[in-house]
Amino acid sequence: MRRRVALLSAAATLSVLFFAGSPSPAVAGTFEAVVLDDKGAPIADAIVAGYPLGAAKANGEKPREIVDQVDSEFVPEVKAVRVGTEIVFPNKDNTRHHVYSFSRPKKFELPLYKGVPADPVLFDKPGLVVLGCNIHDWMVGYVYVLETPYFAKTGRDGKATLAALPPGEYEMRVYHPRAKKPESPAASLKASVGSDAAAATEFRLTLLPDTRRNRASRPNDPTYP
Amino acid sequence: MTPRLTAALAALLTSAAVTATLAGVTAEVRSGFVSEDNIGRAQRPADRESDAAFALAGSLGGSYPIGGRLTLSVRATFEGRAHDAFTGLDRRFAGASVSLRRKAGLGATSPWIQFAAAAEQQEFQDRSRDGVQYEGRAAFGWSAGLRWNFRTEGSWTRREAETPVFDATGATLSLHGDVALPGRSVLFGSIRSRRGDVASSGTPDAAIAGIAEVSADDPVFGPGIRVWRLDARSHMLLLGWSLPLGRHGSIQIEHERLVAMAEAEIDYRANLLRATYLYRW
Repeated sequence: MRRRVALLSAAATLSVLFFAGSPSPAVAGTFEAVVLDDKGAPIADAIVAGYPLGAAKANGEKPREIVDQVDSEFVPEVKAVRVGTEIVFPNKDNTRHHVYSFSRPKKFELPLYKGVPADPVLFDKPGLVVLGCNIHDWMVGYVYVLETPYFAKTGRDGKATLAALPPGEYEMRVYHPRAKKPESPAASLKASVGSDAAAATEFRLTLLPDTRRNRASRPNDPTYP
Repeated sequence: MTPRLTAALAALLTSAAVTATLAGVTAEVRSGFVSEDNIGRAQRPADRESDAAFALAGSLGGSYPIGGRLTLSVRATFEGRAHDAFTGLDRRFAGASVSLRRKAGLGATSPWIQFAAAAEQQEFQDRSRDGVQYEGRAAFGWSAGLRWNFRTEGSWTRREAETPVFDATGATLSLHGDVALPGRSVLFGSIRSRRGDVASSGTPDAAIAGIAEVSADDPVFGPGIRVWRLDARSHMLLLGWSLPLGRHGSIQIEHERLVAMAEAEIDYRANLLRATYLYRW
C-alpha cells in the first residue's frame, strides 16, 4: 500500500512538472497578418511585430542568427531579430566581401573576408540596420532589431503568422524597407490575442518605388569589380 | 585566327584565369544588335551607307580587393560582330584590361577614382583594318544620393593598324550619368568629346583629300571608294535605358549621336541604335 501511494505521488509530481515546464498550446495564441500594397497586391519581406501592451515583459531566447552572402547578395535580404541578438555573416562566395553598416543602431565593419568571420556582430540597440558590401555596391540587406520576441516576415503571398503568442493585448507593427520611413512602423494597430482562435488582420502599406540597381543595370560600368 | 591573336588570347585567358582563381570569377556577356546610319563615316550624304550588325561581346576576369578601399581588376575581353551588308567590317577583337579603383570611404555612394589600361588585338574581315589598340584611362565617380551616379573620364587611345590610314591616336573627355528609376530600371547618358584621328570613307573628294593625313582605297564599301584619315573633333551624345531581367541581367536600349568636325568644314554625322542583352556573374 505504501509502495502504491509512493508511485502515485511520483507520477502526480512528474505530470505537474511536465505541464508546468512546457508551454501548453491551449494558452498560446496566433496572429495572422496579410500585408498588401495600396493596389491590393501582396507585399513580401514585411516584418510584422507584436509588442505586448501592459506590464507583461517579453522573455525568450536570443539564438545566434545568420545572414549569408550567396552569389554576392545578402540572404535573407530582410531579417528581423530581437535586441541583443548576435548575427554571424558567413561569406559563401568565392570572392571576398566587406560588409558594413552606417546605421545608427549598429555601425560596424567586417573588413575583407572569406568564409565565416571569427566574431558575430551584436545588435544591441533597436532600429533598422542597413547592410552593404564595399566591394559589390549592389548588395544591400536590412536587419530589423526589435524589442520583442514576437515577429514574423511575410512571404510572397504577403502572409505572416505570429505563433505562440501569450494571450493579451498587443500593438502590432509592420515594417518594410521600402516604406517612406523604413525605420518606423509603416502601419500599426492594437490587437487582442486570445487562446482559442487566431486573429487575422489585413495591413495596407504604401511603398516607395523599388529603385535599387542590380549588378547589370549599367553597361560599361567601371564599378563592376 | 592569326597566330598573334591566338597567342594574345591564350595569354589573356591565362591571366584572367589566374586572377579569377585568386579572387573569384566575375564575367559578363553582351549580345545584341547595332544599327548605324553612316557606317563609313562619310561626309557627303550620297556616300552614307547604313548597316546593322549582330554583336557578341564580354569579359572574364577577377577583382582582387586590397585593404577594403582599393580593388585591382584584371579582365580578358572579347568582341565579335557580324554585319548584314558590309561584311568586310565583321570583326573579332580580343584584349585585356587592368584597372585599379580606390574608393574614398565606405559605401555605395563613396566617391572613387580609377586608373585603367587596356590593349586589344583587332581583326576584321577586311585585313587592312587589322590592328592593335592601346588605351589609358582615368575616371572619377561620385553619387548624389543612392539614385544618381556620375563619373567623368579622360582617356587616351592609340591604334596601330596594318594600313596607316587606319592608325589613330585620340584623347577623349567624357561625362557620364545615370539615375535609378522605379522598377529597378536605369536611365543613363553620356557626353563625350574627342580630339584625334578618324577614318572617313567616300567617293574621291578633293576637299577631303586636301586635309587628309593619309588615304587609301576602301574596297569594303565598293570599288572606287577611298578612305581618309582626318584629324577631327568628335562629339558624342548617348542616351540609354536599362531594364532589369532578374538579378543578373538587363536589356539596354541606347541611341548615340555622333558628330565629327575636321578642317575646312569637313564633317560627318552618324546615329547608332543599340539593343543589348547584358548578363553579369
